[in-house]
Amino acid sequence: MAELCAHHLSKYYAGVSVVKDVEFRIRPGEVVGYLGPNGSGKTTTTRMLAGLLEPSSGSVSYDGRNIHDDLMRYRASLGYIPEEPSLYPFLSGREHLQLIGRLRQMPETLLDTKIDAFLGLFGLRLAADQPIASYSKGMRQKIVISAALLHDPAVVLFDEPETGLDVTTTLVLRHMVQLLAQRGKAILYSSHILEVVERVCHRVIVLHKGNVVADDSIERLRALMSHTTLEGVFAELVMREDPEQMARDLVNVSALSTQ
Amino acid sequence: MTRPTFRTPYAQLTRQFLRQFLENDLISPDSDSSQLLAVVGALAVSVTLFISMFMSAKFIGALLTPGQAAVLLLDDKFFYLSLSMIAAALMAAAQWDALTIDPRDAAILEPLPVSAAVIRRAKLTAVAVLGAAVAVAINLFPSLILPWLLATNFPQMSIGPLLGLMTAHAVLTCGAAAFGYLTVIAIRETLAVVLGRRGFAFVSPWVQGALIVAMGSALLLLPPSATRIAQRGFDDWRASSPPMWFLGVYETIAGEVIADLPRLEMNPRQAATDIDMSALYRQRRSNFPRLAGQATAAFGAALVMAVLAYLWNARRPALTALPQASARRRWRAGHWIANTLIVREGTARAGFYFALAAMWRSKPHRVTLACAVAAGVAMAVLALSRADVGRGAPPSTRLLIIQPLVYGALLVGFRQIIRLPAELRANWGFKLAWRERDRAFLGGVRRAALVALVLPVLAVLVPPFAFVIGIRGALVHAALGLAGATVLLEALLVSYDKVPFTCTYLPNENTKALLPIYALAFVVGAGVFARLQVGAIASGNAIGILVALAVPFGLLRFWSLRRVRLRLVDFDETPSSVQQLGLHR
Repeated sequence: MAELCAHHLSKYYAGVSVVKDVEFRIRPGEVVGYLGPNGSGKTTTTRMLAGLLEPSSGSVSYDGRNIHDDLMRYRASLGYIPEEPSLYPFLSGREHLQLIGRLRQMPETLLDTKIDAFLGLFGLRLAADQPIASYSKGMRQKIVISAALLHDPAVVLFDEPETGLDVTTTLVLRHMVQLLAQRGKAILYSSHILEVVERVCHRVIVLHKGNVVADDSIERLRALMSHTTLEGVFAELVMREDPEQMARDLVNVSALSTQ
Repeated sequence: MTRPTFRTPYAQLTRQFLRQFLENDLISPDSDSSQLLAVVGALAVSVTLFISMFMSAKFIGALLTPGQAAVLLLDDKFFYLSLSMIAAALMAAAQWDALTIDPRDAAILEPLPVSAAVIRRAKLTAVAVLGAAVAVAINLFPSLILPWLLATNFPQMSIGPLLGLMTAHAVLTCGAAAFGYLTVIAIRETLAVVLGRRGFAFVSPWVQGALIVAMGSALLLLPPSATRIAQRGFDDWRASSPPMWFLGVYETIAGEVIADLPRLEMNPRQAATDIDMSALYRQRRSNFPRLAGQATAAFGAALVMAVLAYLWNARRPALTALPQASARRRWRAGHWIANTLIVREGTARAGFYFALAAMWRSKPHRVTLACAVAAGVAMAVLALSRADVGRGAPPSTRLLIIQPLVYGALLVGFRQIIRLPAELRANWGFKLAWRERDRAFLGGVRRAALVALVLPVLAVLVPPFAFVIGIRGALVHAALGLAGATVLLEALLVSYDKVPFTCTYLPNENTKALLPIYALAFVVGAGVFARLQVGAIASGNAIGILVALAVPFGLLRFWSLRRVRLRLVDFDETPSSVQQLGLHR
């Protein structure tokens, strides 16, 4: 079965290093959590894994081949849920899914069946023919998730997929990720919600200022770092400030008198 | 001690709304608005400077008499007043949705402790400033150059009347611009009052498109319309046109500056001409006060309607209380026909439906197409004015050229809109789902153009052509038109290498340089095609032309298939920072 591998991935913007020498692999049936504070390089890595961004150095391989050697073939087996889903505002949700499915050359009957099913399961049937411009963030996210899963991809990259989703859908998403893994999909799950990562991921990679600072199973990390929760591990790895003190400082700034 | 805030919320919002008029998401979400402002400003200044010099050349060293100049000036004044009025109205129509507070502004501004009245006042100010800027950009050079060149022709004209003429020209052309601008705002706001928000949301794109078509056509038809104003009298359609009302004000205020100039020594021929022309001018003079009255009434009505309707719409307490977009009806029969007969393959279907959605529902694409329609209508009107359109008239080149001119203009507009991304930020979806089937996708887009642009034009033109040249002739003309449009579309897309409506827009400067040649080739080609059709309809042998069209079609398709294409489509061709500096070429 095919593995997705990041080989010494680095990315620089105007000479500033955003991702440094990141190396990991995701096996089929594995859910890898990708954690890190804001600006740590999670989205940049995910976009490089999706082939939307070329690395400054290093490479991404799938099934033993550099993805840029045959990007089309790789993308045929890729599902990607970005952090900020920009969609064509003048298309309806159904039209967007039809567009993506047709570009992916899915058979029309299968496409229609899947679209109806996704829209129904996500509770979007009534809004299916409304323009996306009128959708809430959560509704858009549901369309993006549907589009990513429409073609039954072998690799799925989730970049903070819970954004805007309600509690029920977040729970559904959590179970869905586990079920996808059981069906042999290789999954990268980038998130800020440590509780979700702790529950669904087999392994976590922690990124800090573009560097991988941990890559192991949650149990081993907890044992190694003598913490009972992933939150404790994460705090020790990447937090340089005391959260309580920082919160106090913020409230104090907010209360500064304008007199 | 804290520093005081210098800008009031009103001033800050006005500045922000003005910046929004220049927003441009086509090249990149981060594109430089000051660059756009510079380009638009330079274009307005250079075009009006060129027009002023070109129009006023006849006053340089021509030894015109005051009577002659007074009569000739009526044409020029009509032209400048019309140009100013139409350009301002066109600008307002192009900014249609930006003239009021849009949902995005409302969502950002409503939670802030700024009253709705301040927000609306700021928007109104920004709209007024934009209108004033347009008026000044269009009228600055004509207001200086026209009177100045007149003065070179008439040494008896002193500095006082010269300055008076400059002031009158500036004020009245700007007044005409204000009238055009206010009229569009009045139409928009009155429709919103009468139809309510839901009804207005439905008709708004259509009204905007219709206004752009009307104004664009009027602008293109302006040069042939602004001739022999005095000679033709004030009884034709022009007498009831708004620019003529403003011409009445102009002549009432400043008409005597030239007409009543002291006469210097003239030869007998000049003297006779002066007497004739002065008589003609005096004969027309009686109309000017009436026209001036109409201008005052129309301006007042537009102003009152615009302000009242704007205030009425602004009284709504919540800016964000906009109607929910209603679901689009799915026309199953239409989809079945299209899927069965027009696009049977998935990628072509994706191109077909995406093109249909983008060209009608995306604002920049719709506006560009409306401009293309305006060009087509203007050319058709010009051709029609010289054609015999009586019942049973024989088919003529002047008549049959109308159809290729209209669909040709639309297809050229279509060629332009496929280069504009429908939403650049959303092209990641295309990138991920793209399977390098660019020909199939483009095939779907091409068929969308034929179905949505060419077929409606042909269908609309069949009844009037059937009236003039008979049903059989009209049907043959339509069939040949479809074949001609297919060849033209093939020619327009032969060198297209990108994915329509998705890739970064990069202006092609070579196209601008070659524009006159393209325009000439287009008109000549349409003329030749019309001439061939005349022969075919007269002889009853249309098959020959269809065969003849198949040859260039085949050659173009062959060339299109054989030429070396890019291996991979680059959706984001260059980073925005590089584009802004023009380093991509």
